[in-house]
Amino acid sequence: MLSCKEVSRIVSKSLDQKLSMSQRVSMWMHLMMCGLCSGFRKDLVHLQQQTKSQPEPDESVQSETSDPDSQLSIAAKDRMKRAIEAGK
Amino acid sequence: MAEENMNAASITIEPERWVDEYGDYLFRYAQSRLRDRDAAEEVVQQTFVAGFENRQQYAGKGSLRGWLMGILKRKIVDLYRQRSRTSALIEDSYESKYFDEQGSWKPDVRNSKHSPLDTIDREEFWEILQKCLGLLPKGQADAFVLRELDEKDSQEICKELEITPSNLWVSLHRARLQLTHCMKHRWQN
Repeated sequence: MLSCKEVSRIVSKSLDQKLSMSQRVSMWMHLMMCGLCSGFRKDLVHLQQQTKSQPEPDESVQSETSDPDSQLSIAAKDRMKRAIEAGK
Repeated sequence: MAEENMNAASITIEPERWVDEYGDYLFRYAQSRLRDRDAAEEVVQQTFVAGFENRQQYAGKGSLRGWLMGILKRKIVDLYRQRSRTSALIEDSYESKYFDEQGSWKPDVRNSKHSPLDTIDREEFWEILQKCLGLLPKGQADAFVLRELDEKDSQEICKELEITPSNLWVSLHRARLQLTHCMKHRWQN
């Protein structure tokens, strides 16, 4: 019988690669009986799915945002221009 | 056509204009991947310099922005690799925060079989994820971002970061354990 700690590792691994038959069986046997590990598995699956569905930043977002945290400072832009200039 | 002309003009005449046109866009992407303002500025600058030096390679196929983005992505992976070298895996007892000596979940770590994560709405999710990623050791966060955000497979990530598969799995597992914990906590408070 695997411990929750071992099962949590296998659950995590199952998100990245195909498990062997024996690993799969022991994982599911444990999950059927352990609500905490099933909850953990649900969280990981949800975390993976939600993260994957995040959109890339795009132009439309850019033109609307004026948040200084998501923009280069004037000083940084000047520095970059000088760096390009230096490469000429 | 207008886009093409603009690209041709900005590439031949004044590459400094790249900074005004594409700087914020590239910066925002870099920040979302690196979660470090200084590092993001640095890779964007490297991208512009490298782009300018290799401007002959831009054949006008596709957008200039897309071409610069390709350079930026390579610069980010270079930085990830450096980070993974400097933050070699420390064999800490990260799991002991979550499991007792018998390997069972500690009380209060998971007190419910439900998944409160799925009640966080999408916009909130992204914000909380970014905050929690920022609290992770960089090597773990980078591995997670490459795997889940860029959707690369394990083999590719190991090659890019020059780490072994077992190192990668440990990093991913640590990242996931901590992220789920952190995200629930942040959301509930």
